[in-house]
Amino acid sequence: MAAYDGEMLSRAVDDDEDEDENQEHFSVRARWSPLITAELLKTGGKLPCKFLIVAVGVAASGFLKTYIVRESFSIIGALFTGMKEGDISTLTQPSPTDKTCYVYHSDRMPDILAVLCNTDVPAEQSYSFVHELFSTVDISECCILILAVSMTSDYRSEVPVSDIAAPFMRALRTSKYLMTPLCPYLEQPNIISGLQAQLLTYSQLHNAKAILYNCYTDRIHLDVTTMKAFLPLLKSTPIKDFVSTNPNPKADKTLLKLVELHATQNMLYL
Amino acid sequence: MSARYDRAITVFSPDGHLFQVEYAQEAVKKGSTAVGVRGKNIVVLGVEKKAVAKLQEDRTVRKVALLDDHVALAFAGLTADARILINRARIECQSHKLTVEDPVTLEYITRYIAQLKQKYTQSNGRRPFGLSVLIIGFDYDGSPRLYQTDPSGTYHEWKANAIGRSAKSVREFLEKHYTDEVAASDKECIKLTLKALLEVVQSGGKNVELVIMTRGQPLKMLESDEIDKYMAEIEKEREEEAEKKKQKKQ
Repeated sequence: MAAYDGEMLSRAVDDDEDEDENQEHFSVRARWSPLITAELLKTGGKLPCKFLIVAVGVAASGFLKTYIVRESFSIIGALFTGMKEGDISTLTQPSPTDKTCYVYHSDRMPDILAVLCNTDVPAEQSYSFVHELFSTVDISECCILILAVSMTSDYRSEVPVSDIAAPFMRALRTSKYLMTPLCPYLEQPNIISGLQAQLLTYSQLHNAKAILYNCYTDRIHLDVTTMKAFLPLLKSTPIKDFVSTNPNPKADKTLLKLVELHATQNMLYL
Repeated sequence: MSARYDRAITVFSPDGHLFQVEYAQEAVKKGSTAVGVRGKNIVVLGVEKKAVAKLQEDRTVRKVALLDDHVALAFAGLTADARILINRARIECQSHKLTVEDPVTLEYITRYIAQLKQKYTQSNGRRPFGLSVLIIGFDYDGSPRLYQTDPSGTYHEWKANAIGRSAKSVREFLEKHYTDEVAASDKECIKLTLKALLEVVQSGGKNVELVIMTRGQPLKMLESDEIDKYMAEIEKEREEEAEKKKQKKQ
């Protein structure tokens, strides 16, 4: 019996390896607008940047789009994460299936950049994503803010997770970032992974100031409360310095529209 | 850390958890909110309607089901599990009537449902029902009842309670606002249910479904214009309160 089990196990492992070999990883490509390309050619260096916000996932980018990246921001580039069979290409970010991450800059202060990833960037692409982005953007004087969302089921704590009111935020920073974060630090043994981890690691290695705000939510589908969990950030430095003082009057409507757009008519749970 | 104690439902973790049952309780939270309020002469159920696909017939998407003429339930959690549970409960209601010539009492049918759920937490090769249920109705002595069961098979009677998404915050709202005066008035009970639901329903009254049962009457589903009337009243009350607050400040 044991031998039989052993045989079955080794076969299973072989199968897995075959699958891995067949998988090709598409490396992320960045494309910049003609204006930026010309500027880069002229200076021969990198894109100057004082403040960079990266939103990973639909909830974080929904928040950014509603409250920060509004009329006074324009697209200066895009990061393409490739297409797979079955992906629908519409080339517009409002579509929930579009995987392109757009880079915006503030029209008034061009050294403020924002990267919006509408869908989660796969872990195997996060290395090339970060290298592609930071090969153009100069982060030596930059403060990087990363927003991401995870599920509470991934959160480990002494108290049962069902007793903690979700959504809640946890922070992680690089050693160069000296300000106090708005929320408690992520406790051990919790870990972060994926693009947000890659961004933070790169920043730590290159001595850049970076902070990650990770929101833990218990909702499987996008909802307004999760997006609003990031609201305290609007009052933090340096965001409060460049976000227009009058809040978006249509914020609630925009958020509801986003929820509708991403609503999957799933009747599994009622 | 669950450390694989969540693989089989019949195995306790060393610190006394039955993880699969706890996970089933998480499944309940994935369902939309349902609120139940018991008054002196009325029991009200309010549920959040889920948005259906454009071409889907929304009358086939129901969170509330009638078990017998005097018993109804609202569930939150796995839709397909609910269908099975409702079928079993309906059959039990009929079979009880045939055997003892009396309709089921609310406690009897709740205990039956809870027993069924509990069985699925204590035997191998099964999984618990991913469901919480609010059961409303009138006993044949005329007393209104509101019961709640959860995936573990626990059941309790309540004056007012909520299940599903954000149930905790809705329950807190009910705890704050449920009084004997509210319970005495049918209208106030309906309004309390609506108000509690509006705490968590983001798109207002059009995504709410209300059913009521009064003594000796069959279950009644409120039409959308009736709900709109209550909504308008609530809105008016809120404005009046805001006005009062303003005057106090001045």
